[in-house]
Amino acid sequence: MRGVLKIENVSKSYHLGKLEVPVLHDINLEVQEGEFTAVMGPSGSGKSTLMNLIGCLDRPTCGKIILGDRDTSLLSDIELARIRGKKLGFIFQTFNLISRLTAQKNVEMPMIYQDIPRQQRIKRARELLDMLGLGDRADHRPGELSGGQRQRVAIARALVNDPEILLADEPTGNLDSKTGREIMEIFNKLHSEGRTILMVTHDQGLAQNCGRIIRLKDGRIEDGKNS
Amino acid sequence: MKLIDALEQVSLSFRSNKFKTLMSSLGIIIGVIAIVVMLSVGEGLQEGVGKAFQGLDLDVITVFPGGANFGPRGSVYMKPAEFDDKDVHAIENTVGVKTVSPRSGAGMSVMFRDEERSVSLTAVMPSKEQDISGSIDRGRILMDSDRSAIVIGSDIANNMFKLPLNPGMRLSIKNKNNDVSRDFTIVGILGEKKQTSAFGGNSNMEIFTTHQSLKDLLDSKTYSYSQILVTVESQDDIETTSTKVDEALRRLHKDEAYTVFMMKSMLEGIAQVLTMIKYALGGIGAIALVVGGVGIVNVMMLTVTERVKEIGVMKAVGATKQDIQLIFMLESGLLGLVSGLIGVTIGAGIAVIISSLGDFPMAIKWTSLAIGLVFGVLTTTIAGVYPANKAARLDPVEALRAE
Repeated sequence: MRGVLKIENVSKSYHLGKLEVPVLHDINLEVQEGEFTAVMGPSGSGKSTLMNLIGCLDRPTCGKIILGDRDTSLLSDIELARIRGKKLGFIFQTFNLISRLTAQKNVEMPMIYQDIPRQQRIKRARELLDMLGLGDRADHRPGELSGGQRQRVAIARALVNDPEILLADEPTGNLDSKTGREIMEIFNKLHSEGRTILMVTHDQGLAQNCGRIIRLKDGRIEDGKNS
Repeated sequence: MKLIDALEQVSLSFRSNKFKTLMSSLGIIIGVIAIVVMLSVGEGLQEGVGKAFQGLDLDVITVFPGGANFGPRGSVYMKPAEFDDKDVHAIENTVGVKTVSPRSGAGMSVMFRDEERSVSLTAVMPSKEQDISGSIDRGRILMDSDRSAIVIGSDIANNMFKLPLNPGMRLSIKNKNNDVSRDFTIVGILGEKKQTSAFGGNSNMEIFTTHQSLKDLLDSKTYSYSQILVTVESQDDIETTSTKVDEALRRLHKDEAYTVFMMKSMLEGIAQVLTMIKYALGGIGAIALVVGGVGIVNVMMLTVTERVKEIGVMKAVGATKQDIQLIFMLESGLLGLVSGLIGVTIGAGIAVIISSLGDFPMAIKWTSLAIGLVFGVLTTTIAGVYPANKAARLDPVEALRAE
């Protein structure tokens, strides 16, 4: 198996005025292609910060984050944006769809920034919506969709550029348990198809479902062993 | 990101926010209307004044004694030049000169059957006055040998006295300064001339006679021409010819004051002033536009604030700073273009309506419309720079966290 993500001695601290607030300490982590990893930990443990760093939305204070074979700490803002668009797919707890755009347009959006031709965009978005059972919902706006449907649109959006890693931040956190299970089914299916998934969750049951659990506490990894 | 895709995003955002889009563009629309209307007023003014000056003799150089009141030469006192036939010959021999007509004038009283009127009597050299000869309506033209003949304008003939005057009638002209009085015969009446110029008096109120007659009335030892009208061969070379006339006269009047005056240069001066007025009016309109621009900055800032989360999502799914900048700049630029087009259309409409309502001069020129449009687009584009940069620089983590 190929390593898709390697985190070496990463620390992150924020500045609150003159005060330096450390959030992550000396994180080391490797994720192999096709792994389904859960990131757990109490709030304030640095889960979201870790996801933001992996997601190239933020830069570490020190240490290296290597995605594929590229050290992201050496990349420019534009290159980071390219990586976010092509190699990463984000799925958020609150879906983060754009409310004035239809499901179809929301799914097309990441392809726009990669200059993918229009016809190809429409076709690809359509395929994914069909695959996620939303073929008849393509022209609806997020406000006209249920929570589960919205999260499926968001998953389609995350998959649209065929990313190397899916980053899901509590994807079932805003859903009832039945819908949550449906979404987890989708993740399991994606995993079985060989997707690499990193998922933040509070839910022990959902985490057990994953191949691997990483527990964060006070900005440190407690154990990274396979369970 | 391709431009066409950015345009699609912008048009989607306009459509989802029609009311806000309209309100924010209103300031720009009003500003552009103001510019177009103001410039049309200016153009109308220019055109109106231009019409008033039309038919004015642009190929005429006027030479008169004394300094003009403008220019540095007027500031030092010099004896006024006295022009005589030597000067007329000198000018006639200048390259580029077509005709030379020396004239003199004086205020006189005319008496006809117990009625007395003040007039200005113009003495001419008939053989050099094709213009006057050509416009005789009744009777005959003046001749160089005439000593007590006059040719009168149509207003004097028809309206000055109770009885209309006809060729062959006699009247007497008196110089009030020395009480010298002479009898004159009306030999010709000029045809009615259209009022061509805004100044220069009523051209139908003139009385022409010969220099000898005026000299008799003035009864003075010296007699000189009070102005010499010079027409040129070519209007384009009038400046050069004017300089040559000046040089020829300078040789004869070394330390004396005289003025060589061209209507053309004066008109050019007036035209310059009018152009300034026009752009000053346009500037007033531009102030309205600037206010509109401030409104756009406001609305765009509001839009950025509203869409913070959306900007975060855009960045998360791969939008670069440049992409976001492009979208927001396009949004304000497009707003400017559409508002500008609406403003130009309404502005032109208002100008048409106002000019059709009355005498108010309005002229709609393509340049005015273009200026309105360009300034409209420019203002909104500039107004969009700061909000677009702010949006592009948002920290994606912070932006995603926003509610």
